[in-house]
This record gives sequence, structure tokens and C-alpha cells, in this order.
Amino acid sequence: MSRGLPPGTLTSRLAAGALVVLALAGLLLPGPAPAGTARDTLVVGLGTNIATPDNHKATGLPAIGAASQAGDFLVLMDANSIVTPWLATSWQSADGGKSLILTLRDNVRMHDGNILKAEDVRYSIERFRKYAIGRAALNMVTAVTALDDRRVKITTQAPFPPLLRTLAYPGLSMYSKAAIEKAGDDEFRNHVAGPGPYRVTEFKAGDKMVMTAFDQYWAGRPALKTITFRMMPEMSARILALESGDVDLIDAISPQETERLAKNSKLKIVNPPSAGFVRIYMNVQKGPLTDKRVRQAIAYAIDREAIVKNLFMGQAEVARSLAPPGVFGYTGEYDVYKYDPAKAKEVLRQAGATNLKFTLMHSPGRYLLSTEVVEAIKANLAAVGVDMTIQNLEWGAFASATTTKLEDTRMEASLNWWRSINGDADSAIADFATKFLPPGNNTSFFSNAQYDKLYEQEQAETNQTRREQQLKEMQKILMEEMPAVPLYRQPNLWVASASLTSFDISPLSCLQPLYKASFK
Amino acid sequence: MFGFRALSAKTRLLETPVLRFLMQRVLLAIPSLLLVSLLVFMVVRLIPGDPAQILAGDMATPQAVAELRAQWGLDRPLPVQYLTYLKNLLAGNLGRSVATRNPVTREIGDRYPTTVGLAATGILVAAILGLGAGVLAASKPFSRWDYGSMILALTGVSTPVFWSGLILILIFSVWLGWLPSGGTGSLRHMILPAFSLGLFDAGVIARQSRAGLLEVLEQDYIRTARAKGLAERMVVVRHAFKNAVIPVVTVIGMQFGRMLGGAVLVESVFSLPGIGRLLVTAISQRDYPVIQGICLLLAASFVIINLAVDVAYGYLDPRIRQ
Repeated sequence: MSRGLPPGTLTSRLAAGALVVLALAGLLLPGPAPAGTARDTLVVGLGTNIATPDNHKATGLPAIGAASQAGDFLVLMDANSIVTPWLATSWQSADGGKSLILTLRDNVRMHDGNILKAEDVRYSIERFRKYAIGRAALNMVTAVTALDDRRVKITTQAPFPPLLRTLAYPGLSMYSKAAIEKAGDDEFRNHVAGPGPYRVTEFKAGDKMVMTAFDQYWAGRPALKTITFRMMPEMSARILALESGDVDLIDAISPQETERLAKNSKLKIVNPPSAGFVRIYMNVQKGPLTDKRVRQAIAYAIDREAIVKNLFMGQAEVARSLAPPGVFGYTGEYDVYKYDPAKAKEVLRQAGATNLKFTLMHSPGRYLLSTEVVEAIKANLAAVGVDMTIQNLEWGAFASATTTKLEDTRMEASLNWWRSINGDADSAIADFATKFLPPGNNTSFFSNAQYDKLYEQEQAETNQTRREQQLKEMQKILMEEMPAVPLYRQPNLWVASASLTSFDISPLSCLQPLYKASFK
Repeated sequence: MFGFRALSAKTRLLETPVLRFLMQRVLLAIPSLLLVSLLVFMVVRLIPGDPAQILAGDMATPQAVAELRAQWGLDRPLPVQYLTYLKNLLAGNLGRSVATRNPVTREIGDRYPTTVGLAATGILVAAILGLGAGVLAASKPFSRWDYGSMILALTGVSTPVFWSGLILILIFSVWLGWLPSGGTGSLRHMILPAFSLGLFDAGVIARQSRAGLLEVLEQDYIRTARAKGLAERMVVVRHAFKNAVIPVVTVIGMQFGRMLGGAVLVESVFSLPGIGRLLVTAISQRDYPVIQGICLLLAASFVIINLAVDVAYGYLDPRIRQ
């Protein structure tokens, strides 16, 4: 005899009924209109969290690009490091190259109704230097002065030619001083007011930032009424949201996904040049990699072309220098390290390092496909008799371990990312100067008197030809001494709805002002 | 006179076993929470990584890093830091996030409702599906209904929430276009995350409730009820189900607590602004005040959930009320 209820008893019916009710309730509840239907609304899915709409306190470059839509730029810079006038319409050098005087655009209205004046710019720059995660970019600035309502003077310790390009950094947003003082420094995040094309109308931490067109934008009324930036840390979820039409533009996509997405006629892949590239830093002062021949052998042993072709599906680019192509002063002419395992073995033999073993620190998940990359490198090195152990560390632990002082460090090598923030080779290779030894970012512990001298010279050189030559000399030293193996320039992969037009993405993976963006 | 009566009534109320029990539990929670605060405080500082180094930014000089450490009080001895933290905690001040400089109460307050809402809807789905499948299985043991329900339960337990979430999005958002793929805004946004989160626990509850119900259905009082001529569904619903569900309540309580702290995968897949994601970000940035605040909140939530489970026991089983 069966000891139970037949299916369809009260309890099971209740359970089934409740389920149906739950499902129907959800389905029938009114939901928001799908993003794709309202063509004056753009929804962007970012992999980075937007910690705050206040760009001076923001972290993460794509998030900074989102927040920059409210505070505008002094100047814009394209992928070829060409500077375009923006809020600053002209500039001139003064005080023997130690000062830069910017003239501001006339009659630029801000979200709080005030007109942008030199004092707002001065205040914004000073606030950026106080709080911003990228504030070290303006370390050399000694004074910012409002000369009158429309002219701002920025003075540096010594002539600093990359200053103008540095002002294009997307975190350097201009804001209304009156709005900051009225709201208070902390509360300004809820009352952001700048001259940008979009105003922040809603911010929900960890969820979304909604921006509404600023009708009085100096360059004309933005084409889109609303932009919503959604914070979507999971790549698969971003892709599915794009395919379902919930979002119109997503960033940080793996190259493996692009092949499938490229077949979807409703989507388009965007891969503008990136300022970010990946290196293997090697400890030149302590451990098994102090002999430069050993480091050179490692460079010969790594098949960078194969990494780019097979792992990045050709969407990355082999790095020929420790600076990225396209920046001022770049040269790839000193990269002699074509993949050559036989030569690597020979150089190792000459250096007496035939049983070389070392440990590479790596933070999984931090950079695109980095786990696959370090495995490929391990296999490359094993082929020439080098035993590389991969030590995986969580990012906080990794950052701490790689910036520990020489006397305490256990770092032999590490895989890390670097970038040029100002379209200039200077900010890409400055970290190899002695002054940035750990706890700074010179994580190779590279210290070279000739390099340091060139670094100081180029920082103060006003003659652009001479300066370009100095930067190239610095790259030559680095490629010879090999404190770090340049691996590849990262892809800057975004996927957009095919109908979305007139938007630009900077080499730092930030959206440029979106005032012209629209749907076809 | 009236005041005396009120006072007496209040005293009598406090003397009732249930309230005395509740008071004891609340008092016991205080040292537990203090211990949690100390453990979390120590553990986050033992793991390698310096928030000042991480947040000082690119090309920060050692001096700038040192200034940040001093500004946040991280250069003081650990006992001094802990006592300061404790003092502020007792005043309801959890400090400020070192990453955003916002009050920790605001950071957590902005996100905790999302996580509670997600966990609540997730446990509702789990309870409905799990109890339904469990009752169905127990009602026809070793039948195709039983095997079918248990296979589904096993599938639920074995499916990572991450994967089930993506599959749900693929079906209901991309293919059918019925539901949003993530984010917040309406109850519709919670359906897929709730099912994704609830499917795993539904499997656990289904197996637990099946086993419980089968055991109870073997008891003498059930045989008596049947002998009285009661309809089978009345026997199960009125007499067996309530007793069988007591251990399931424990499971539901524990699962709910686990969901609060463990919903981070679902929050990531569905882009929900919950405390799970906040905690992961805070850990990667070594944002000590936020990590401490969230851990303390989760510990307090567990205490409250356990208390609620105990009260539910009393409701379900009169013997416990005595």
C-alpha cells in the first residue's frame, strides 16, 4: 500500500499555485521599457564599478570616463596624442617653459547656472591634486593661479612639456566651485555640477548612474536625452544584456567572444588603440634574474606573436617597446627579441644559467586572459630549460608584494599592466627611474645612472626634437638592460548596438564626451 | 495604581519563559558580536596588502602613501586602532570607507536592502519549490513522482548559481525577452535572481522535507489518524506536515543566513548592488572599515535569524514553548 498522497493533493496544489502566482505576478508587473526601444536613451554596461559621480574621487578608468560626462575636459586628446582645444581654446608657454597659460572658452554655462570662470578651473585642478587617484600625474605642478576670469596659469617645478597632454586626463573634470562649496566636499557627489554635456540625475551605488542631457551645453544640445551607466561586473552578463537589448554598449570584452558577436548584424565591435600594455617585470637587483643576459634570454624565449595571435585572436598587438605605439617619443626600433628559442638557450648557456628557476607573481583575473598568458609563457620557458613557477596572488596581496622594499622583497618577477596616461612616452616608462623604486612602482628595482639622467633631461626639455630623441634613448637602454619584457598592447574591446553612432573611446578606455552620440 | 498594575504586568511578561529565553539570547549575542569585531579587525590586518598603497594611485611617492596611512590612523598601534574602532562602534559610527570617503553606514545602507530583498525572494522560491517537491516525493515514495522530484532536487543542488543565472538570462531575457537581464527597478528584476539563488536551496529543502515527511508518516499517531477514517490529504496536511517541517525550518533559517553573505555570485551575474559585491570590492581594496562593517552586519543578521528560527520552533512545536 502506498504511504502517501496522490499527486494533486492540497499541499502540492498550493505549492504549484503559489509558484504560478509568483511567476505571473512578476511577468505582469509593469517593467521599464527595453533600452533599445527609446532611441534617445543610451544604456552603457560597464565592467567597472562607479564608486562616485564625483570624478575627483572616482576610481577605475571606464568609471572615470562615465563621470567625465558631467565635468568637462580642458583639452581633448586622440589616439595619436593630438590635442584638441575644448574648454581651453588656446594656450601659451610662459616663464621659460615653467608655466602654461590657458585661455578658457567664453560663456560656458554649468549645471548650477553659473558661467565657468578661471577660478572654477583653478579650484577643480587643486581639488583633483588633493583627492584623485591619478593625482600623481600633476606631481610636478607647484601653483595654479586664476589670472582673470578667463585665464589660468599652471606652474611647474621645471619646464614640463607633457603638461598640456596631461590636462586631457579624463579624471581631471572641471566643476563649479560654488556648487562644491554649497554642497560640501563629501556631499558634492550628490550634487555634481560641471559644464559637461550630461547632468547626473540619479546615482545608485553599485547599480547605475543616470545622466540627463544638459540643454545649455556649450557645444550644442546633446543628441541623446538620457544616458544610463549600469555597473555590470560579469562579462557574460554584459554580453547577454547587450544581446537581449537591455544595454546598447558594453566594455571589457574577451577577444574569444568577439568572433561570435561579430556575426550578429545588430552589433558592432569597436577596438580603438589602447594605452595599456602588459609587461613581465624582473628583479634586476636580487634573485636569479640579476644578469641582463638571462633577462634577454627570457625575452627571446617568449613567443609574443603566438600569444597575440592565439590567445588574443589577433586583437592585441605585440609590444615592441616599454612605451605604447602612438605616444610621443615612441620607438619600436630597439626590439631585437624575435622569438628564438635556440638563441635563448645559447644566451642562457653563456650566462651560466642552464638550470634557471624563478617565480612569477601573478594576480589572476586582474587583466584580460592573464592566466592563459602566464601559462603560455611558462610553456615557452620550459622549452628552453627554464622552470618558472607561477605564484597566484589576490590583487591586494600582489600590489603589496611587488612594491615591497628591496631588503624585504621576495619578488623575482611579476606580470603587470602599465599605461601612458598622457599620450607621452614619459608617463609610460618613468616608473623605471630610481626615484620610483619600491614602495614606488619601479618594481624591477631598475637603477641606471644614464637612464636617470636622460629622464631628468627629457622632463625639462622644451625642444620637442631633442626631447623625442631623449625618450628614444631611454627606450633603447630599457630594451638593452631588459628590466621588463614588453609583451603586448591590450585590446580595448567594446561592443555596441550597430545603430549607435558618433561616440569615441580614448586609449585609456574612457568614453569621450558623448554629446554627439545618437542612434541611426 | 494603574502604574503599579502596568509594572506588574510588565514584570510578569518578562518572567515568561519565552521572553526570558529571548533576553538571554540577545545578551549572549553581545559577546559574540564583540568577538566577531575583534576577529575581523585582526584578520583583515593580517592579510598582506596596504590600503594606502593600493589607493594612493599610480606613481604615488612613499611620502604620499605615508600621509594617507597617517590620515586614516593606520600608523597607530593595533590595540589603539581597535579601541578607537570599538568606541566609535558603540556610538553607532562605523567609520568612513577609505576608498570613497563615504560613511560606512551609508555604503552598507545603500546596498543591504537589495541583498535582503534578494535573499528573501530567493528563500521564498526555495521554500515553495523545495517543500512542493518534497511533499510530492514523500506522498508517492519510490514512484516516478518521487524519482522525478529528487532528480530535480539533485540537479538544483548540483547546479552552480553562476551557471543557472546565465542560463536563466539566456532563456528569459535573450530568447524570450520576457524579463530584464539584470539591474534593479521593479519586482520583475528580482525574479531571475531569486530563482537562480533559490534553485540550489530548493534542492536541499526538497530532500530534507521528503525525508522528514516520510519519517513522520510512519509514526503511530498518523496510523491513528488514518484509523479514524480521515482523508489522506487531511492526515498529511493537518497532522504530518507541521511536524515534518520543524527540521526544515532550521535549514531555511541557515540557508537564508548563507544567502545574505553568499549572494555575491548572483549579485555579479545580475548586476545587483548588494553587499556581497561591496564586500569583494572592499577586500580587494583593503577597505578595512567597510569589510568590518559588513562582517559585523552579517554576524548580527545571523544572530537575528537564529532567534527567529527559535521563535518559529515555539510556534510549530508546543512542547518547546513550555
